[in-house]
Amino acid sequence: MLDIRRRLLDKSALITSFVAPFLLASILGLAFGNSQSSGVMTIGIAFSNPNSYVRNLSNAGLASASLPALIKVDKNLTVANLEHEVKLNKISAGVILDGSLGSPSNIESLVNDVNGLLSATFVHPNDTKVNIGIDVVSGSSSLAGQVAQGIAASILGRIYNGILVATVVSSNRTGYSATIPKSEQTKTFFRIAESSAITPLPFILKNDNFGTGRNVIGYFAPSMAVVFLFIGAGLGARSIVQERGEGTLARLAASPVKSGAIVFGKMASIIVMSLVSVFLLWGETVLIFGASWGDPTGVIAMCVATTLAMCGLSIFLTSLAKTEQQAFNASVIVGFVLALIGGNFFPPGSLPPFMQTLSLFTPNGWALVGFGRLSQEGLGFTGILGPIEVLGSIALVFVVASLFRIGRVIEL
Amino acid sequence: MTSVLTTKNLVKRYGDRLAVDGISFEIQRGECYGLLGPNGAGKTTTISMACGLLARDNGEVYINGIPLTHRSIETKKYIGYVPQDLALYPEISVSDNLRFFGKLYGLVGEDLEKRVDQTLEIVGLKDRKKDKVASFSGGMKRRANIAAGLLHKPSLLVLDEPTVGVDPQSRNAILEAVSVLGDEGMAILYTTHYMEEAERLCDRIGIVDLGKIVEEGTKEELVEKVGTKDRIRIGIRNNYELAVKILKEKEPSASLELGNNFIGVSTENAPSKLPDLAGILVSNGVEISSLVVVEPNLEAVFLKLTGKELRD
Ligand SMILES: Nc1ncnc2c1ncn2[C@@H]1O[C@H](COP(=O)(O)OP(=O)(O)OP(=O)(O)O)[C@@H](O)[C@H]1O
Ligand SMILES: [Mg+2]
Repeated sequence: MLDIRRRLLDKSALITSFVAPFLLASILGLAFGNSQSSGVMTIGIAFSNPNSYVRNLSNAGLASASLPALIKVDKNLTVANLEHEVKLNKISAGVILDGSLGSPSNIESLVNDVNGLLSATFVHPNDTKVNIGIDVVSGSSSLAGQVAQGIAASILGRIYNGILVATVVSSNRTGYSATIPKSEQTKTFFRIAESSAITPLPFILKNDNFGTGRNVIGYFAPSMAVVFLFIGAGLGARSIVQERGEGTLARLAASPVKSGAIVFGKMASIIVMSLVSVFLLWGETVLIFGASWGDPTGVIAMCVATTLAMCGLSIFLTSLAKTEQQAFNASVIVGFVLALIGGNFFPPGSLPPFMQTLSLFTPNGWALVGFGRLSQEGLGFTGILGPIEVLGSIALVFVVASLFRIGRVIEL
Repeated sequence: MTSVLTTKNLVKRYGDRLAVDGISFEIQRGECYGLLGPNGAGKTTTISMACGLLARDNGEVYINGIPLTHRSIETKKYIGYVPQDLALYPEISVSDNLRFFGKLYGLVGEDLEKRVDQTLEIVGLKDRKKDKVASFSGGMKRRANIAAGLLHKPSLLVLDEPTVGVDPQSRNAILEAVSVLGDEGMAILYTTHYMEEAERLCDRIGIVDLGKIVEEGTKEELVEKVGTKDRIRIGIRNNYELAVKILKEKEPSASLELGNNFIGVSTENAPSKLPDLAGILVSNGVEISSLVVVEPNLEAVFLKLTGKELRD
């Protein structure tokens, strides 16, 4: 109790636990939210050697790609135009599709060609430009480049999907009959392909609602909460180091209270404060911005798991510190590094693939996966069992490690 | 009657350094026992082991006859520990600090409030009870620090150099409070490197050096054991050799200490011989700059036992 009161008296703790996450979530939310709805990013698409079948096919693929609101697609460009506009920064990035995909006059070679070439798409969706004749023209913004690549992969995925279906269907139904002209076979083939290409495939920015403002805060609020959970818990744990310096820890050790109880009390007060701060932020963003964090049961479960994991890690790190200053640095610097690696400062899915993998080495990365599934994909409790399991394990390891570590600190 | 505190053969090593090397002593009810020693002698280390704050490498501790292990809470409630360094939460009021520590000792409700008031009264901080500890002067902080150790009426009060860096007024208040508590029957373990405090407060004194108790007893016993005689100190301006020669002739039994510009003479009844000796020296042309009678005291004992001045 006294610990909690001390922290309430400590202004820096108040700011990190309650004010900062709210402010940052609002700022990021408003920044990304508003600009996105007006469509900040334009991606251009152009065809080299356009061939009407391919153009129609890719249009069909594009139409079903369910692009997020922030991305506008300009399809009516020549290759030279596209490259010029990207250079002028009028377009953030572009995709160049090879329109002479296969030869429409020779259906066998087309199908063989396509199958051979496109099989690579699924292996390396972002390397498609090499294999399949798609060029991504990237502008100055690497984020846009990523998005362009993503769109390219998505469109190709659809084209491939369509061609695959068409291939199976046409070889079953017609075979390559000599009685039907090749050009008719090709037409049929592409008709089937076009209609199949509309089948939606997952796109890296999965949620079409991302960017309506409401959900942006629903995403950034827990995201910021996670960062400040870590920093806040670190500052809370700093009081243990501080108390060693102040000598009150010795006085606690001299009192007839089990050291386990003292350690438990310290950790509990930090975790309770952290939980309160997360739930407060949830309440604030819902009331003030009408944000939605997603399914309430899921949010509560994620909040608890995340708090335990972030607090455990943070308290453990801090308890290793020898001085208060060290403790402060540990929590703030490590906190921001973790946030950067974990992707807390970016919209979901906007990191390059290796960064997305890297982020899963951080507890906050997993927290984002969980919160993202709740707020962006609308999944319920069962959808976040994976992240909860990972966070729970992290929490268990570090909470136990901290208990031992602080126990040792107290016994001088 | 069992002693309030018994320590037997306490040992603590830090790496190669033996910080405490086989310390044993006992403290009875109402007795004030002083550990007197220079910096780094091992006083704080000894106290930490006696209070169960520090795991010992060897030895035993009994509080009111009950063995103390460093995790035991049964015995800890009999101890009131006042650390050498200030140990209070600076950003809350002194009475809130006391309430918090009181609760750790199982004090609650009206009992707690009463004890908070009483202890603040004892250390003379009653009119500042609502003030934050951070706003206190050094001396007041020290007194508040002591109050926190007194709250639960311990049978043993352990004070680790409670008057270091304290103004004379606060210091007096502290010493006064401690001696009153002793009179009320509390056993007190007091460490200091102020000789006057040990002389004034402590019924018995252990002189600690290099992790050992080199001598123990009442002030009188210590002075006796060391056998320090009265000593006079004669400051000499010129004819130093001549003066030494005269003193050796006149007082063959005395031991002489030859300083740079003084001669120390230790002998029975030295003060009464002083006028005579001075007269003879002067009449032989020795110029005397000063005459001092040094009564035997702890300082002399200490110097003799450890070869060190107590204060740097
Ligand atoms: N945590 C520690 N690690 C290593 N050595 C220590 C530690 N604590 C104390 N010592 C050493 O043990 C010896 C005794 O220290 P202690 O603090 O008991 O002395 P003290 O008599 O209380 O001195 P002072 O009058 O300065 O308070 C010293 O040499 C000190 O350097
Ligand atoms: Mg000491």
